[in-house]
Amino acid sequence: MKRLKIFLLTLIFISCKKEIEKVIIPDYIVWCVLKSSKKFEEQIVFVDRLYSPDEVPSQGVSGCSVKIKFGGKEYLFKEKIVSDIDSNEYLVYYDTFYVPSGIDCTLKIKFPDSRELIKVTKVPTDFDIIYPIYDTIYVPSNNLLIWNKSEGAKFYVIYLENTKDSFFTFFSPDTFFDLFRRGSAFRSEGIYEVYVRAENEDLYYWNLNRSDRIEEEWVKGVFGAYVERRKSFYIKK
Amino acid sequence: MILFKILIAFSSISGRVIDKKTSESLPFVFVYIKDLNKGTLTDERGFYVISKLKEGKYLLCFKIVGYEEKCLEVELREGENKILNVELNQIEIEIEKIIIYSRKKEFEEERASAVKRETEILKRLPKFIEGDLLRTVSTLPGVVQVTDLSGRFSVRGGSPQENLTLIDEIPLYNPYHLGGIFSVFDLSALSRYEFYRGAYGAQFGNALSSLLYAEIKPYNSEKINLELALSFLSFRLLNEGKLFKGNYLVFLRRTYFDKYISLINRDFEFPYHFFDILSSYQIEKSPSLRFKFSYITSRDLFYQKKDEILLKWGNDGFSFRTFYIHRKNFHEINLFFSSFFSYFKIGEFISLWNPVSIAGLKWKGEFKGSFDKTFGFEYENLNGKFQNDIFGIKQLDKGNPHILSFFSELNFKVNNLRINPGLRTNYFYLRIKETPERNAKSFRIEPRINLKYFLRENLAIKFAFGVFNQYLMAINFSEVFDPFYYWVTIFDGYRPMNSKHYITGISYLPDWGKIDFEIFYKKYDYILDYEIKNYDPLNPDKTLFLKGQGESYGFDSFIEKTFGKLNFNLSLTVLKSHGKFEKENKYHSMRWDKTFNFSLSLFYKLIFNLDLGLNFLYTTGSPFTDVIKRYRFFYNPYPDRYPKVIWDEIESYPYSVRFPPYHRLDISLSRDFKIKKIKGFYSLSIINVYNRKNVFLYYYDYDKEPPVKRELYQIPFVPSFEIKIIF
Repeated sequence: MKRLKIFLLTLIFISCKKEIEKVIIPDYIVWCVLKSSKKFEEQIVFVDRLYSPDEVPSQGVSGCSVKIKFGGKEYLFKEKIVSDIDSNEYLVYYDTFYVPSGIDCTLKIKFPDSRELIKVTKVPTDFDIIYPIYDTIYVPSNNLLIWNKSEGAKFYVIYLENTKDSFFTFFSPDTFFDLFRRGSAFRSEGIYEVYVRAENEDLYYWNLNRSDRIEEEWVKGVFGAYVERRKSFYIKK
Repeated sequence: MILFKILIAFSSISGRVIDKKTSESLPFVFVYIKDLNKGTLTDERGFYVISKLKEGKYLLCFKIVGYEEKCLEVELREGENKILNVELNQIEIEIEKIIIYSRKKEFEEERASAVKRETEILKRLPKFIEGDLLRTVSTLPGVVQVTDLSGRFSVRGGSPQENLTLIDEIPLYNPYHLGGIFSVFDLSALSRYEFYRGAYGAQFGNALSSLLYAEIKPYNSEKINLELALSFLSFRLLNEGKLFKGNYLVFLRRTYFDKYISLINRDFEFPYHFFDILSSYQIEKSPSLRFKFSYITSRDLFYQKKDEILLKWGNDGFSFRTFYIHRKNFHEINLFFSSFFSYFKIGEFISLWNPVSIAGLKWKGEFKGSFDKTFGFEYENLNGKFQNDIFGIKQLDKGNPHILSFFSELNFKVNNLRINPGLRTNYFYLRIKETPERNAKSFRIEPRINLKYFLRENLAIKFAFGVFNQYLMAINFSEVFDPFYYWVTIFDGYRPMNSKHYITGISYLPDWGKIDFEIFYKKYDYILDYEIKNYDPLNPDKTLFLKGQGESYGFDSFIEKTFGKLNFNLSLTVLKSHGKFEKENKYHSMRWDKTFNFSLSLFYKLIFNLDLGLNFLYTTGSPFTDVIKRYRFFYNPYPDRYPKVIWDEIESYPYSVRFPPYHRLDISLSRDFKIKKIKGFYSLSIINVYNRKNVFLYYYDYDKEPPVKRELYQIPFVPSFEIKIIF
């Protein structure tokens, strides 16, 4: 009986042994997604640290030197507080300039503790929405939304907005999408605007599973870019 | 030539022994030749063979506790194989003596890790809302239920997808209703089940961990039997009787929660209901030729009109079985078909469609002699599709593989050692016209062995080993919420999943019950796990599953008392289950790893014909992946506006922390009643008597600052009532 007890206790001890593995926890999070359209756009960079799950967060990390460089030009970003659609306030670094398509851009951040991050991303090339050509479209229909291929684009994201009542997101790895077949996306008749974004590889993997393509272990995040084209049409049901 | 002549010269007698009153097969009948030291026992189908007899006159006797002994004079000619079917008359005797006798005989034949149960006693135990077979199985040793909200169970640390479920030989892959709370196995329609928690025989395959085999109950009476049962969730109807020259059984169940909710509140439509149909028809052309046709269907429908959410899943299946005794051999031919599907749709934004069907033919021949031999083959043709469209990301996996298996088993005894070796070979072939690069081929050999050494008549040590492969893989987005799995067959790039079982233990059969102890080691050389975070729609074939390896080990034991006023079943399992997948450098606990598992099921006859049932479960908390840090990032769909803040989490090493221990006590009181010609049964069950708050999951509410850690609990205190009326 005593032996059996010892055996059981040993087995239980072995079974309960905890496997503690170290998970890499970076010090900073960086989010910068460049937007390339046919005009000047405000570009923003967000720098923050990580928090414990029950910790009150700050608005972001201030005091960083943030620069973006391409085509021999360098833009030094300034700080400001902005708020999102849900009135969450946070600190961003911003500047307004035109980002050409098909170029390499470099992000340089010098953090308050003097560590430096340098990351390069490639902006995909230009493209255009080539179908539908009509201003009025009946749904549901088998008509496709078609656009040209953008070199350097890993994935296309399609946003459909009706300012009255809806906003939907769809995805396509190809240069077409069966948008008008999906009657549920068009709840009412009216003007809709579609945005097609050609996202580069860095942005694609970040959006897919927060896959980190930054080599430094102390920083996590994304420096990506997309090219955006828009088209409006009137939907009839 | 000489050998041939000797074989020809011998004669044999074979046949089937049945109960004269009920026509049911009688197992473990001692069949012997008087004045000659020769005899045998009937098997589970009542079948016997005595071979190597010379020509002459013999007195053949049939003896079993509870029946009149019968002796018949038989005359055999040289080389004759005589078929002699016998009916025995029951005599008044205590039922317990019969059970003790048949249990002893069963003990002699029983494989390692096997549990066989009649369903009658299970109906008296507390019901988790309704009596359910899969819930009952989760109280057995080595078995751990996933959550209260799921009928799925893990066997000896394996994933629930590794369990093969057969009902009258029809394979069922999605036998769950409503988040897994119910299964399609209602106890009313079943007679018995066999459960192998490891190292099951070579006649079965395509499952890494366990085999659950249930039978739709046979019915042999001339009378029509009609049972109607009502609980607060569903009604059940069971009808049995004689039709033409055979017997039929039909079981129907439908939930009516949706109906009476809309009666109470006309503006509210409860979006869910399910129904099941189980049926069988049996015909006995002669005592040596029998047919059984079984049919099963189940449908679940969840439809919420407002958000256009549709969730539909179900099973359809049939088996047509022929049991034939030819000379001294028993043959079973099974033609079966099983189809299961799931469909999930939200508007035109998300749709997932997964129909899978299996059509098969199985032949099994049992050749009795100085040692029993079983040979057979099984051919399965699978046809599966997994098609989805998630916000435009489309995926289509389809395949039509063929699996051809041959199996053989021997069963013989050398002195005190029963030896049961087996071998199964599988050839898997998948050809896809459109995408030949996805074609797959595989040839696998699966040796199995089961040894039992009897120290005494009622005390045996045992050893078992087996190799198992699995050709279907499950995709599940959430093990706790999904009511069903999506199934795909292996394709190029992935191999069949593979496990090896090593089992040793000891069994003791005292007069009052049984004590069993087994130590097991299960090695997973190659397993696949679906992880949504790993999936890349641009590279679906390479990222659909994570390849891994693992092992689980420990012991499970049970003590059961099956006689007297007090019956109980006490089981204890201690196990460790860990694995390692791609991109992981160290072994970690598997999702199913629960170190301690203790369960007690008790049944006590009180006064006034009241029966008390009690279930108590205690398990170590499930492992989970904790949140160690959180961070903000942005989602920027809205043009000309600032991106929306989203919180994401950094998780601990997989399954490195545990929920608090789980425990729950359920009790029930039940009683038979009779009012004039109407008989019946009612029961009151209380689930989670002391309202234990067993944690289901933790989450952080990031809408609050600072975020609040919240808990969701499993089933609270729930009373449940059921009444059954038998006409």
